[in-house]
Amino acid sequence: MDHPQDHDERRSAHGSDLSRRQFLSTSSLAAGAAISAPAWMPRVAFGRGSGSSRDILVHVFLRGGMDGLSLIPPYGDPEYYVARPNLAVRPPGQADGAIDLDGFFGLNPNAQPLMQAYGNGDLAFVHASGLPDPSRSHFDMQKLVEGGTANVHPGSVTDGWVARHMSGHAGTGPARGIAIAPVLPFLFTGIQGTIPISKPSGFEFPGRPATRRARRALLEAIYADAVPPLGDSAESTFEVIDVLSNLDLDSYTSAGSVPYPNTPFGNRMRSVAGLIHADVGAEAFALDLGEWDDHSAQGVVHGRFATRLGALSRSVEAFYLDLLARGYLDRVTTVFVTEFGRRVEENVSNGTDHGHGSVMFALGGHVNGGQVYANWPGLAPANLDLGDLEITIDMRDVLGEIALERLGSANLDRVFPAHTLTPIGITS
Amino acid sequence: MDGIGTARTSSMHPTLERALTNASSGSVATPGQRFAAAVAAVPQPGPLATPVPPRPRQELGTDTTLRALVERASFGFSVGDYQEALARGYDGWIEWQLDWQKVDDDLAVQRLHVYQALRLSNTELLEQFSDPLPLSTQLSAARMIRAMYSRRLLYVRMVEFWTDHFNVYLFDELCQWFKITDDRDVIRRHALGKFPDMLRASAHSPAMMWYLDNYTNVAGAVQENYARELQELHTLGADGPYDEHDVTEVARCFSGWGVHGAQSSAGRPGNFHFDPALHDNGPKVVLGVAIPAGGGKSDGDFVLDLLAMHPSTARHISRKMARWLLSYDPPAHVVDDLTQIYLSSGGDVKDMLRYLLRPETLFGVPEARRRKLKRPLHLVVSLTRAILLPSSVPEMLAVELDNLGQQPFLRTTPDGYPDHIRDWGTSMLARWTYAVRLMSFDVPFNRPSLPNIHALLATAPPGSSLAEAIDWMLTGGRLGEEVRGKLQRYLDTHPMTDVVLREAIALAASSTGYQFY
Repeated sequence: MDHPQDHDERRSAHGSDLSRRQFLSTSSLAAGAAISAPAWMPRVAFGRGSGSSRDILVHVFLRGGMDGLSLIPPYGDPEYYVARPNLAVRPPGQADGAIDLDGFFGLNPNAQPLMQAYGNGDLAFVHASGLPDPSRSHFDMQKLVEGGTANVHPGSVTDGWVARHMSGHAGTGPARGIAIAPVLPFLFTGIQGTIPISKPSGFEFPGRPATRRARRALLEAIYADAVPPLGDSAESTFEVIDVLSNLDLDSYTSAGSVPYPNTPFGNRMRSVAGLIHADVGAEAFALDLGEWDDHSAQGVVHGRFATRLGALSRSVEAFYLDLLARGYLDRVTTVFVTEFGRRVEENVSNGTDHGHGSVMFALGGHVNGGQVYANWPGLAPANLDLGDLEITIDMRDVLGEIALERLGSANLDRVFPAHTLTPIGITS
Repeated sequence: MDGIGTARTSSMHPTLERALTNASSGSVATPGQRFAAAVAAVPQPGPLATPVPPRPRQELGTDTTLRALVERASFGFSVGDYQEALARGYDGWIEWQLDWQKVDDDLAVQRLHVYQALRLSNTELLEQFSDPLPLSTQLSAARMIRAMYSRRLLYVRMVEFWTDHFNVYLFDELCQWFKITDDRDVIRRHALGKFPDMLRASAHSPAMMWYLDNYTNVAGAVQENYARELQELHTLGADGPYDEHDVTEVARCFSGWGVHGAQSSAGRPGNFHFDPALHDNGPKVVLGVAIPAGGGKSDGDFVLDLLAMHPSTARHISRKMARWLLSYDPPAHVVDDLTQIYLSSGGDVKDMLRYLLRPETLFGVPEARRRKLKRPLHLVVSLTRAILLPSSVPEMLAVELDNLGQQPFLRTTPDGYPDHIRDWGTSMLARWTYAVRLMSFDVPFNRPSLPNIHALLATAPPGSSLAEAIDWMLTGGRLGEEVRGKLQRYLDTHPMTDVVLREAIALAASSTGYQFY
């Protein structure tokens, strides 16, 4: 997205952006070396090893209710095969069997691309986890998960937990939170400087270059005092346009040995990595992979779930190897969450209905990985929560530990209100 | 895709089975990309009928009350619609709009004539179309044509409302066929009718049965997806008086409700079908009401009646309609009044609309004075209507809506597209980009007509500056002094060409004021 004719125009209009521009030209995607921090860049992005360092958070929401029992089959629990006669992943060693993780839990073979991160100790799964709210509604639970709270009326929750986390410290970048999505997720709602970008490589002010400056100035003036959230989002939009106009995200490729899959989700992950590499200063990224609501024809090992999981895993593998190769793994923590798991017993449609506990996972250089964290409640009918996997690890304990230890959260009691943190030791 | 469950298809009608195979051809593209590709493959028609600009009626001043009524009840201000309202008066216009079938709609009807598939039954659709993508483009084109050209303004706005309320994701397998009859026989048929009728029609709609998996809901193995959303989204509301037990019991009541051909290879596939052999005939209790054993299909019918006239449903629908037309935060007394109207009129949508649109409500309620943000479809269509866009391929505008996050019929989750400023108020660039693309002739087959625009500008009050005339054309003159001043300066400082005029219109359509209604 290089428009040389625009640069002069904008430089005179926004002279103070000069340092930003100079910085971006030296750290442009191909160079990757010599980095000098401009004034707008938050310290956090470079704070590795210092007391004030904050990881960049990448938050992936697997919307629809991802079936944790099909991602991490508890092959050591015989009740699993009783409840899922048609949908279970077979034990390790059998045809299409699970990949053994720890002698009790396995990994769906379609998630094989995750094994390198797991083997390197950079990927951890947390089983029988979730948000302990009784609701089985997608919409209630997605809002509560993003809101970081439980057992309250979803309508009373007004902001996302990442927004509250950001409110605890000053932000200086043009966009503190970037969602690779057409609309802003609730996770980021409630703080200035969070913005949805559906396609980062096309994020530029539209129209004729000859009049761009004047038209933009007009809209900047009109939006300066617009009602929330329009004014703030317009301001972030203009700043992010300036940053992204100097990047060529379309040409960004992985520095690792595995390319990003050319799928919508693979390209979203690639964009996040490109934006991290370009040091745009965002503290958090949010992206979704949806359609996990497998009420019918779930296809756990071959089929829809399997295809989706394979696509997810290949994208995550590319992202992991890319961050590893570029040396960013130690300052990026990626979490994968869903709103709930599926009912333990499969249904008549070879699918699963809305459930409760599921699996979340975390990826990063400071993730205590290579293990499945679980306080396994068992799948015998007597151990279930209304027919569903009981939640024995509150997702707020996992996210709270990451917020505290990796994101430097200064206001954890506000980030996860009415919750006392019990860390599980997932960060190192 | 190879994941179609064997149990589901083993006894399926071959026509359905073939459709199911074609429905999910394993594309990695997003629905928007799939759709755009399908649109691009459609043969492009020549020039088609479009509205004629109104003649200047300079004796008529600006009636801000009527302007606000038209804006609230339609897809946005247009000079012609406003002049129609002036001619009919406040109450006359509302009654004219409510009696929607009598509103002369030649232009839209004429444009819709070519979409023959939209008249077929599910069986005919399945038999005649093995590839569903032409159906999706026809459905989308028809939705855009009605939004852009229909004079049944209030009706079309309520069709949009109910489409979200009873959301069905078009690309969910056989919904690519079934959504056509759902749109026609459930949503459009009952949009200004009685809510209980629409609810019953939806429960008998193969699209809904498929989308929420009820066609697999059978005795002994309940599939509760429909039963849950029926209560949470369609009727009682998430804060309604039901619990997990009610979800299971309602699911039992609807066991055996499904789609002909999905569970057996007999009969004409694709129509609604109740199979008594698959129904759980035991006794049930729903919301504390006992349903005796042996009811068969009447179990589900009873539940629909129970839910349709439940006070929580009345309140849920009332609150949602008040949010749609009045305010994000409708006051309690308005919701209370509407709830009473719902209950006493048997859920009559017209009676509820009369109450919501009367001046005492529209202008007497402080909350209603705060404008609502146009959703992307609303923004897109308001601009095409305001400039009398002659579209030869209207579904191209649905593709533009992909960038804005609101393609018709492509909301995947059953809650429908949200209606709140916090959901849509943070992506400004996509809105500005749309206005610029349309006015720069960058939306294929949707080139604004300069003669139309010139004629519309000429209807502005005498003595108007060009900026004032643009404001008049887009909003009836409510963008405000500051915006008009900036626009006029822009026009004054650039050589006056059609290019600059179109840029100024795009700027006005990108302004904050134009984002609201």
